[in-house]
Amino acid sequence: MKIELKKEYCVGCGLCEIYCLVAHSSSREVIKAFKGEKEKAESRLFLEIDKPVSFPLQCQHCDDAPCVRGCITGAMYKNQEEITLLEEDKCVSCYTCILECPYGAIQISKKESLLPIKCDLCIGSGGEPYCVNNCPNGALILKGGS
Amino acid sequence: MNDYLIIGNSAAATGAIEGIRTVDKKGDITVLSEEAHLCYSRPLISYFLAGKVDGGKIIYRGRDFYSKNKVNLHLGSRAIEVDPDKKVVTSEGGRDYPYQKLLIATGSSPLAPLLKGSGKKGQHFFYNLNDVYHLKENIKEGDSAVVVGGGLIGLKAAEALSLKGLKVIVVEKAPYLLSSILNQVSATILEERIRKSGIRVIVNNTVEEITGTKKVEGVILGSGERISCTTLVLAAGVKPNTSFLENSGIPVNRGIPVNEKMETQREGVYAAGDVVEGWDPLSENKRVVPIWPAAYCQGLVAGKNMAGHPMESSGEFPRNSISFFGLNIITAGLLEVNSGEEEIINYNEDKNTYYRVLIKDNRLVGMIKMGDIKEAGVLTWMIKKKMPAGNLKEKLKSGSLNPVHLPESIRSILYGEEGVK
Repeated sequence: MKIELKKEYCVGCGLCEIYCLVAHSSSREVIKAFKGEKEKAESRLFLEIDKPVSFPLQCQHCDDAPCVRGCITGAMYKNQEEITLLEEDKCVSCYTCILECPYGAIQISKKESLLPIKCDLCIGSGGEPYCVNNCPNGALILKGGS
Repeated sequence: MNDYLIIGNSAAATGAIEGIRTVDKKGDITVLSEEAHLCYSRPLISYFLAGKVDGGKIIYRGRDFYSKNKVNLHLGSRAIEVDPDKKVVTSEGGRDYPYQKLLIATGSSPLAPLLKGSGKKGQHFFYNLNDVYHLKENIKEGDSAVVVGGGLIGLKAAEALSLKGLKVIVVEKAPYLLSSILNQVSATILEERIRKSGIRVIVNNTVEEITGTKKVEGVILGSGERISCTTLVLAAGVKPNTSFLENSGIPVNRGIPVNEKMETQREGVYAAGDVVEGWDPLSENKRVVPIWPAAYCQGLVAGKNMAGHPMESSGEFPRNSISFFGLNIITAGLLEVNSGEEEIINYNEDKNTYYRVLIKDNRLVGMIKMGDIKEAGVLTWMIKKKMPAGNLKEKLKSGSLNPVHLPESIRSILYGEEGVK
């Protein structure tokens, strides 16, 4: 399962980042997520713009994931649906995953934990990924889901 | 009879077990582990010493990894002989282990430099979990420790000892720290960070003699300087563990040469990890690349081939992600600038970031990123896949390159079927 990008449809509006943050907030409501939560959540995809090209850098949940193979602690793993996830308690923030990810899709959290953060396909937020559902141009499509 | 016998129990062995089990769910797998521990993360021993991870967190896979994968694990069992004709491995104590397919994943050991006065209490290696247990028992806050070697292992040891409240002095033979992965400018930035954290760094110098009667009391340097200390950590390089292969007929150079299937020159005998001399696509030579990700990937390739599923390694090249006192460093590929190579450097002294890529024959062949390691893996991929970098020089100069900046010809490969193969 992964989110496929139709980059010709991306206009760089940034709603994917906004809704990714919402998906990872505790309220999952856009106003509260930005204004009303003690610790503001973070987006796990990273919109990049180099005009005229724009698209979010986002985990591709690779079959042969170099981040999983390279992880020195075993914190980065594949779940039964082959989604690439991080077991945060096990991670020591060595960033070998950042060395290994060819998509630049793993970045360092700005929170105190300094954990690597990446797309988790909204696994903890129920249903379809928020970025897919909220992209106004249909530039992000969930592939391989059941 | 074991279908699969694995000597060693670290990253390469784990990769092999997982590789075998993707192909063969039933075959008997036996692992001989010299150490009496479940597979743990070697690079985490410095975190363990500093108290940042505990004995549970250092275990690489879950404790049920071996039972889940139906592995017969023999802890504390050291292989002393391999007979590839009879297909038998003998362990210390004389037990024979017959096999169909063998994986040698015995890793490496620290080199013991010849030092006058060697063999005293207080002298340590910093290489495995037992080394850390010994150190923990023998150090206390306020002690002085000398670390011989300013490489990856020596500096991680120095950092951990410093965090434990010891007074630490690092002695490095080369003119600067981490000389196998950094250039002089980036090493100087690192050295400053390390000094500011309270560690004394001495370069261009060696420890010649250990003083003291039974216990370490100090060292004498090549320069004649005497330093008193109660702990000495030797981190002066490593060598592959191959001595048990002496009579096996399996050829050994610097490591065990293998082909792209990780098979040695003896049929049915595979090797992976630090013990191996494998193909490096950058130097276009066979060499030992003793890093965790390479060990795991080589083990995985070996395991799949052992189980009859053909898979080839595209080779491994040096790459590291490491941090010291919060300074993040990522490096990959070649380090040297020779003729015909071009350097692109972006050094921001205010932000304390340093970035350098090396281009040869229009291809990226090396990188150093320090302070800001964002998107480093894009460069690792470009290096690995030998992608043309000529038109990207302006972008590379800016210090940041991610998939948005790539020309469509390269981006379509990255996001295509062969992207991460």
